[in-house]
Amino acid sequence: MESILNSFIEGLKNEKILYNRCNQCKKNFLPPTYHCPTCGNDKLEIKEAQKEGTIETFTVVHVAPTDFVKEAPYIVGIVQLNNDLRIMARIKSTKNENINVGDKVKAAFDKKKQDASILFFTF
Amino acid sequence: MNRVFIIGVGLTKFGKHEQLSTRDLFFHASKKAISDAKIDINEIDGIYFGNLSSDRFEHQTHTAAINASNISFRHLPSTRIEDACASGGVAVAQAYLAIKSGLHDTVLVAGAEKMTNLSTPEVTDVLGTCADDIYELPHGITFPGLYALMARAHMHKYGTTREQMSMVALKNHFNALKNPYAQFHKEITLEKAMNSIIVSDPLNLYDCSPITDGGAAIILTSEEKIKNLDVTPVEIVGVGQASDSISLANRKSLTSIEANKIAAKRAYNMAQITQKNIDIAEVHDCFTIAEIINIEDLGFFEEGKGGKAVEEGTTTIDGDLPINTDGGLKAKGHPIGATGVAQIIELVHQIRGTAENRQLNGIKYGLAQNMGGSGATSVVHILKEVN
Repeated sequence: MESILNSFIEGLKNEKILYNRCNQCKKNFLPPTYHCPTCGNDKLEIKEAQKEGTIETFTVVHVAPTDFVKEAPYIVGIVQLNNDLRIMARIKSTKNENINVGDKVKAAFDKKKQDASILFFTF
Repeated sequence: MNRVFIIGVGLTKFGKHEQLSTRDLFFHASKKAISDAKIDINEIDGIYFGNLSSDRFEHQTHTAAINASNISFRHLPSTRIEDACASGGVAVAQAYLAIKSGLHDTVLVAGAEKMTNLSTPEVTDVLGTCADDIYELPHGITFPGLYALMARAHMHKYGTTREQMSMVALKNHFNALKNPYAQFHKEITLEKAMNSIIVSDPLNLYDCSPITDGGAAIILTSEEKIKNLDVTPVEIVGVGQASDSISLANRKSLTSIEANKIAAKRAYNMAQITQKNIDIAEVHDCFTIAEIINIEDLGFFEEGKGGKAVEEGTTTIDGDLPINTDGGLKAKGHPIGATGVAQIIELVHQIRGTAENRQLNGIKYGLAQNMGGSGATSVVHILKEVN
């Protein structure tokens, strides 16, 4: 038996955003799962997404959970990648840019992390 | 198949109960419901209990058995339901099923949550477990954050405004003034609601439901049993439930909640009515934007028009479609496991004519929509006046 999670996190460790493509209805989706959420088919290909996207929505978190209190405020966004894929990640900027929905961002990878937060986006 | 009726309801005051635990909140709400139904405790043959996380809040699991033994010596079957913030509503659905199937005749359904003993960051952690631990929480997202993501997407796509969201808070605080069980009894101004401290931009403090202790209980029974009772029963004529990916980014839309639409369709079909028949609704306003999205998903307003409906006063207590006449989660309070049960209690009061000074006239059909997480569970009940 294998975990459906490993491929995605392992991909991030190798600076790749891996997704599934259904070989029946041809829909693309994230994160990897056991069957296509659109048609239920379980024959899925693993593909690599582009590393650029646009901000579909974002929030600035001021009241944070205990593990993140020291980092607040910080920005979490949902980024639209190619092929109708969406992913949640931090949006980090070096300057205080005025962030807007529709802004172009690119993927970056923090190798010190071990979980989905390896991935973040920058301008 | 059995028809299912609500014959009794009971609430504790919602708010901060320093001296009370989940056990007490369950017990007091349940006693009131039994008394309201004018039945003996020994007539109850099953218990369903909605609760999110007595594990994390009070270091106690196995609470269904604790609650059963506190209220009855008869070794009643007792089951805890956990479906995030929809735990209470799903407990009602399971109790409905138990009577519908003939397994039980009279069931106690209660929801309770003790939350105020933890700090706000700790409560944020506990509630965070309702989001995806692998794909969402590592980014530091919170529930206000998830709904803020939906709010900004809704504002961007449809032009929903900050003012419209604050107007939801205003309306629900106003309604709560007439609900003696509500956590808050203070009228707020639009200016105050709009300028409160930012929790997760664009949501501020007055967009968020509070941290609350509370219990809610109802008694369900079969058609056979109501014949001998001296109460005004209310019938459950529709039940619909649906699930979805718990990870927001992986769902079909960021501006609507698919599980709401599917659960509502299932409930309307079962009740053989449409949204046009609904006279009053209790919707899950954990955040102001959620009320706007929910009233669209339930079919009351077109997608993108929910904010406008609030602005125009359509959903106020004297509007065409009153929403959250008890103050909603926003002002009545949101003790997680109790919420879905408490929504149904307000509908029962409005339908049977016991809503006191917030009583509306001519309420035949009421709808309750309770959801979990950022919308991965949705459960809809439709209640009907018994002629």
